[in-house]
Amino acid sequence: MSYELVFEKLVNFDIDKARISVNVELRLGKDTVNFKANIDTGASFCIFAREYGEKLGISIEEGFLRYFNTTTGNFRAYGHGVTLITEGFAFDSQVFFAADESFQTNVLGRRGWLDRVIIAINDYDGKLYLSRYESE
Amino acid sequence: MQAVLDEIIEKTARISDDDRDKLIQILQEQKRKIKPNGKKGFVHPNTLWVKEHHAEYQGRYVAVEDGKLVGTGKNFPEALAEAKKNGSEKPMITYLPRDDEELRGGW
Repeated sequence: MSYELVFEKLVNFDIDKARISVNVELRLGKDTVNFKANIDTGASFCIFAREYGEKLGISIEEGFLRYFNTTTGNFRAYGHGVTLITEGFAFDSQVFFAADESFQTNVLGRRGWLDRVIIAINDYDGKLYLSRYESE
Repeated sequence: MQAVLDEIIEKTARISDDDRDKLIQILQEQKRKIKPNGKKGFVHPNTLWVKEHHAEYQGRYVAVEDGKLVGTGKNFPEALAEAKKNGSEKPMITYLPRDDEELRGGW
């Protein structure tokens, strides 16, 4: 038995990098901020460095507080509603900004991104195939 | 200062494309560096709704627009479909974790 999927986008990524990352834009009103984020199936939500939320003018600590566990401990982050754009696909979503300024990891996780896209990864060739779920 | 700038420009003309991209990124980060804004910033009405109502909808997806609930569902497509049925054009859709649910910060 074979299976076939058709995707809207093909994104090339650097196979020499330790992680698979894509371009991210966050938008709130007229403000935008751009950076790269890693695709992480082990992250429950999309979690970004607080500086990106602050650049959008967000009051970080007034968001939806949750604690996230990692292999080395846990950290505090606050959920905020923003427009999340990756490779041209825009979603109004809740993303989390880490409370700690030293947290510099940016991940696209399951809730908020992976739950609304369909992806396929060809790691050998550095190719990421991407579609938004609702366009099926 | 102009002499330093001229020297930097001359040197950057000889670096690889990858190194140039790195340099651009670093310069952009330096320019954008801002200090924490404490509690003086903005909070979206949808965020305020989540803070106030998450306990009522924990374990489900909600669609919220302009600070009002416009749909719910057990997954993203369900919440989106209900929001559209209710006339919502651009809802924020999010999962609301259960209070006892372990959230992971990544691998």
